[in-house]
Amino acid sequence: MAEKIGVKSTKTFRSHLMYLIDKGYVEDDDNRYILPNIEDIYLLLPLETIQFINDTIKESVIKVYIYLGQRYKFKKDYVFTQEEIAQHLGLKLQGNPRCRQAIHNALDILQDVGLISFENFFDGKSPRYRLLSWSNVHKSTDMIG
Amino acid sequence: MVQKRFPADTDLTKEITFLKDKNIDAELYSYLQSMSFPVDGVTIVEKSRLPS
Repeated sequence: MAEKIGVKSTKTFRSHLMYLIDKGYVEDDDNRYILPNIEDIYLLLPLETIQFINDTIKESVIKVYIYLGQRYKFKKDYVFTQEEIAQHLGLKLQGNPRCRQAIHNALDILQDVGLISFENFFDGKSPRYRLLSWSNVHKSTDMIG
Repeated sequence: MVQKRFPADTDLTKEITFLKDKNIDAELYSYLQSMSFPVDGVTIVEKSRLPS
């Protein structure tokens, strides 16, 4: 197993594992390890939400959703710009007006399905967004059929 | 060996202990996660499934 994760010696592997156990990220329980759901690592999403976003939303929009989720969890009154989102997606805004539109559309669709809410304002230079809420549950509608 | 694979956001790392702790072997943790499955709401890794 040490080789599998790129650790050269079994001793090093053991010490790395023991460290995770000491810190409570892994629990040694007889013939199994338990990985406790530690809130500061995970964003917990219900299966229905995962299925919903996987079925309906493009990967880049999902990235924006998760990015905003991490920030909503740890930052108060989080304000972000299109540049910041573009950077996260590996895109360049300058000289690419279509990119601006795509980011705005991504935020719009996330708001429309109830996963985020935001207000936008203009600071004189560029549009800014204040994240008002982030939800792990989308707006549900009655299933058809 | 990669020690950290989680978000490289320095602002967030101030508030997330897992990200702050440079002694954590995130590659090992990720590997354990990839081998894990839920049983009665608990995420477990069977030792017998891990390579020796």
